[in-house]
Amino acid sequence: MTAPFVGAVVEPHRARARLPRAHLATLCEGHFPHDPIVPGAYVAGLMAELAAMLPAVRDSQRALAAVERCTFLAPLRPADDVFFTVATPAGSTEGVTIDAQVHAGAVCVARGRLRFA
Amino acid sequence: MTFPDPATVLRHRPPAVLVRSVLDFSGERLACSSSDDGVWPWPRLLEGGAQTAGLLAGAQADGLAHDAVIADYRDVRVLAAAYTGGVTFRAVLERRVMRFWRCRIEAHGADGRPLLTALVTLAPVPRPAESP
Repeated sequence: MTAPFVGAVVEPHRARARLPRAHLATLCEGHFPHDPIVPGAYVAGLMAELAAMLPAVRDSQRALAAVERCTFLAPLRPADDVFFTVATPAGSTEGVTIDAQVHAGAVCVARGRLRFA
Repeated sequence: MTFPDPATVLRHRPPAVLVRSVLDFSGERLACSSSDDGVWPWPRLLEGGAQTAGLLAGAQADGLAHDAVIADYRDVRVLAAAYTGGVTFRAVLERRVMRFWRCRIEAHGADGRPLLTALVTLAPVPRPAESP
């Protein structure tokens, strides 16, 4: 599964990208027929894909070891304004820890912390 | 103990249905086979485990309705980035806090190898009447 992120801006400690509505709709097939919601597990996977673009992960060729937590604050439905943001928190030492957020418009619908090692 | 066919219980529909049949059910534990023996990237393993947990929580006395949602995942250990083949999903009830149910979930390959472990918290869908 490779996410077709659009307009990715990758900085040394932060990355941000939009995910197109069509891809989000594909992830919702059958989930659910009358109320499409992106499965939370796939949201976590997308966080990890964007995190892997960060230089700290990409350049060290680290692999995802764990999703320490991923909390869902609201359902994520297909839309044109869904943005994923990942950042390296200050002071992370063991492996590489990445914080992630997903926004639909102005609303934060999910946030998580991932660890690469 | 008997358990209904997952396809009749889950509100998921293909291709989102990731469990096929119940292998074992003992009240607080449930094991299910996977829907197919294709490629399983780790997010798909996690979703299959969550579906198994949802079935288990729904089977409890005063359990969750089958339109429950995922509140969070914790301590997801990705032991294989992807796997090809049949998968067994296991869910065990760990605790209940008010109307939230937490389960430990595991995904194992056909050879028994652990592929992923996690904790998942399931929550009821908020109803309009419950809004403050």
